[in-house]
Amino acid sequence: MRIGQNPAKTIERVVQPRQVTVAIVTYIPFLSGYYAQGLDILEASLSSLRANTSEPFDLMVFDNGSGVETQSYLRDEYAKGNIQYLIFSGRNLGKGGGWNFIFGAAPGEIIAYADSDIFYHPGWLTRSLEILETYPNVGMVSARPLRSREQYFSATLDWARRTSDVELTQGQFITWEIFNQHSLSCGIDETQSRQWFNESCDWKLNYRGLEAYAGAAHFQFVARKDVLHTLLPFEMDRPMGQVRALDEQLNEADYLRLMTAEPLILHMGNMLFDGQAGMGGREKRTHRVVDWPPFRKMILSIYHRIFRLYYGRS
Amino acid sequence: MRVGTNPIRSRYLAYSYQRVGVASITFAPFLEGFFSEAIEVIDIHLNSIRQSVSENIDLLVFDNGSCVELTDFLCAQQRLGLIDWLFLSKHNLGKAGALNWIFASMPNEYIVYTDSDVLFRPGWLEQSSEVFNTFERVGIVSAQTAFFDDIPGVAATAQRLAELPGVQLSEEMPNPEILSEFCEGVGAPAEVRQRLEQIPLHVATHRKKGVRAVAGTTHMQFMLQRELARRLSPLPVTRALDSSDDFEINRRVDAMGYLQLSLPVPLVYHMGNRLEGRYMLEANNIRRNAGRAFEPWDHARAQSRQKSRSKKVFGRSLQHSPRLKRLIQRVYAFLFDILYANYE
Repeated sequence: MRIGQNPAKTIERVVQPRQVTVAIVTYIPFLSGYYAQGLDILEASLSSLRANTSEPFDLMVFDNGSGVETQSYLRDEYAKGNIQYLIFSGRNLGKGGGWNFIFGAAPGEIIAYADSDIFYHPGWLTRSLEILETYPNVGMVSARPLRSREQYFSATLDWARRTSDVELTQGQFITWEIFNQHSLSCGIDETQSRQWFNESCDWKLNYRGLEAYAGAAHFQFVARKDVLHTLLPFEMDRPMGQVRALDEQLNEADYLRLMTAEPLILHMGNMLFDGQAGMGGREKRTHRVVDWPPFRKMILSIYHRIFRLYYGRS
Repeated sequence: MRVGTNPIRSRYLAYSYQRVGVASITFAPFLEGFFSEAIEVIDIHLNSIRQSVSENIDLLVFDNGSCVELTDFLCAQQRLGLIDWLFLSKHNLGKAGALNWIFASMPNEYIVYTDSDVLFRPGWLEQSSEVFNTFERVGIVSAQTAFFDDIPGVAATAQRLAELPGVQLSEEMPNPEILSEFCEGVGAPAEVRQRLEQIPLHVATHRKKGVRAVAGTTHMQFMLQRELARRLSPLPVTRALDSSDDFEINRRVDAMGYLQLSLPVPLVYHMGNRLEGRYMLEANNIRRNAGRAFEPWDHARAQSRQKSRSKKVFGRSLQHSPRLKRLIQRVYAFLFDILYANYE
């Protein structure tokens, strides 16, 4: 039975959310294999976010079924006040499921989404917000110039071509170093990366004196919550690999997809090593037995089975 | 840099949501005074939800800025599988603020809101669902009989029910025993109890199905469809806990022309903040069941049954043998190194 009055009734004011909610989805089921450095990378990501963001923001972390080590780390960060909103999901809802949760519920008017393996440089949010506020009808802004397929930013090019005060130029504006830095972070070898670099180009826009590149990345972007709400819910039945839906839907709805001219974030991937920022690349070792396709296939199969046994349990 | 392929990129399916998601809001800034038994009450509350349903549900707990003891407890329950989604907010966003999150983000077809001091009895979900399936344009269904007649929308619901074909509407005086239980739970003073004894309930009976429902709803527990929940938010947030914020839900549901109903027999009970009173027998049974028979992963058992026997045996072995777990992890890491550690 109720005895006395709930003191919560006497709380006069509730905390108002900040304009920007930085939202991060984490998934580190255990700390070995692919995820061996997962926690170090998450730590580096959150540290750089705190150190290199000058605007006030609320941090929301959606943990998509991580192991106990990651959950403990996140709880500590929450207890320290470094995370304002922390959501633990017992099972992996997929990236789309995570997005449905955080985009639906994030309290800020602006959502800065990022995967948990992003390193932030000074000015990443400032520059992103400038573009978001200067260009009209912006769907998403990523804080790094990248090259992606034109089909995902055709609406941006169409808008630029029909708008008189937009200067649109095509060329190789991104340097090889910046291009290759991201390629390496995605596990693409240098030969392949060089080929793609030579065969592709960039689209640069200048609108009201502010430069931006056409295209954006779904692993890190800043967007208005009301725009993202128009896309919900995302129907993705797999944990990963269907996130192009966001790019496609924004483009189809004629929203601009833009990137900052400078690389202000870095995709770290799953391995940290000395000199990562420089991304000089290392010599690839070869091994006759390991690289023999049938052997490799067999080991890969065992490797995946072990992972499935872990993942399948929950 | 990325080395190798993220293992979850291939083959695995993301979790599919259950039909019903239950969301509970917790708040205990400290464990003294009013909140001295908060953890025990919440423990009974959460276990009663799990024990009272015959279908799998998703259970979300939204902690609205509680003390570390309670958040530790909730994290432990989440790890054990009692809670599916645990939402920790550093600050109290108000009940309406938390409801805004719940209404906007819960992915289930039906969303059930509950205060964290409500005890659930078997049948509440089935009977609430039956009301949804029987009457037209049902907005909200509460498993606690609604006795108050001054909640926005009660009169309009009664009028709409009277106009429904195949539905008989009657006025009935509240059952003294049921009313007494309700008043004890909410700590209603004698004058309120006397007033409620005089207010007749508008009871709708579906002639064909025999399903009965009472006009009106409560704020401590209710069920609604996701589409309606999305349309109700954002709710205005004035204070941490303010009944005028709750009334706004009723106003909006009423304005959209939906019915607000409750069950004639209460299948939830407001425990309040103290473990005493007539419900203790039920509460003890729930605790006993939780201690003896309840297994943390019980709700997932139906799904795991579909898995092969070898997987189940393997899962159990891992749970009970840290050595085996470490060994497998080492093998896993070793294989990974062979496959992907191409860089010195």
